[in-house]
Amino acid sequence: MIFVATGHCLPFDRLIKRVDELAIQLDEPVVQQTGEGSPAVNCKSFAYDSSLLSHFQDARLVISHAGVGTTLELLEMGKPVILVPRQRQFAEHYDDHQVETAQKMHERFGLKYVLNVSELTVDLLTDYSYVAPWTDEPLDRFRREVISILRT
Amino acid sequence: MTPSQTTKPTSILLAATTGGHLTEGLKLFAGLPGTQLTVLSENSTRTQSMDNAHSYPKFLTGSIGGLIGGFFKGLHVIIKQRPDWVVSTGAEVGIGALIAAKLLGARTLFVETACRVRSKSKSAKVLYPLVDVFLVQHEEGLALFGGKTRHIGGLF
Repeated sequence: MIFVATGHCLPFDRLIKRVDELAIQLDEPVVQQTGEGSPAVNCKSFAYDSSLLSHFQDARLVISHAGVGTTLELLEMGKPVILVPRQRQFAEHYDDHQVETAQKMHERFGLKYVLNVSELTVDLLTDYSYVAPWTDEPLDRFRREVISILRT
Repeated sequence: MTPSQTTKPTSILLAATTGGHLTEGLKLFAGLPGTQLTVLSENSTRTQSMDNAHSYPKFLTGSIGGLIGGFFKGLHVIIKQRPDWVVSTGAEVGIGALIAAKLLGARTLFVETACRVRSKSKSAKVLYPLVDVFLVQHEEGLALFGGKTRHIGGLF
């Protein structure tokens, strides 16, 4: 199953529509969390759930907006993920910080991201299986060092 | 009792806007050894299920409600609990609470969100001059802000 996570706040119809077009050509189920966006037509979709973890666990591949919380959950889970950052020029967010986040995740972990949804193709979604090498070391370091600050 | 058993935990109030900011804050600060954490945020399924959260209803859309609520609820909680530190990962709830903390003389710490690598969040721009400790989660952030900025790791 391929799962799409669009987050919340503004609609992300650009991503929803592109994956919806591909869904009829793919050989596996597609489920989309659409948030404030339009429902999908060619695959199952829902606006919100109390948690997306079970959907992530069930998915072979996740295509996600580049929100920090979602990206972190997927990295920790060791799930193949393609990031599609929300962009200001399409009124998907108030600025382009998700593009920064996606670029950093690519530099740091080799995560794939696309800015143009036409780069999402049947072949890419069928074959993509890269799992980023996750490490807790930066978080462990923060937690060790912040204790010494807080206990002064 | 040994001295370690009588040491009072360091009390931390984490003020963060519900959603990703609160998620980051909890990852960074929850369960630190020798500390006791309480949370200040807006009402949500998560905050209402937490034993250690002070939350308030979202009464205005946009940033103003978060800022006003964070400030006044922050005043209330800080006066009542006298935390050793008030920390925040943003956004407007954190701005309001950290301003309240400064007015009340509490120690303050701000962590720029991990989603900001080469740009500044609104919270960071407002809070950099105010807080006692200012942290960024990416090394690139050191070049964006002034001399008191520190990088000690982060979520990624």
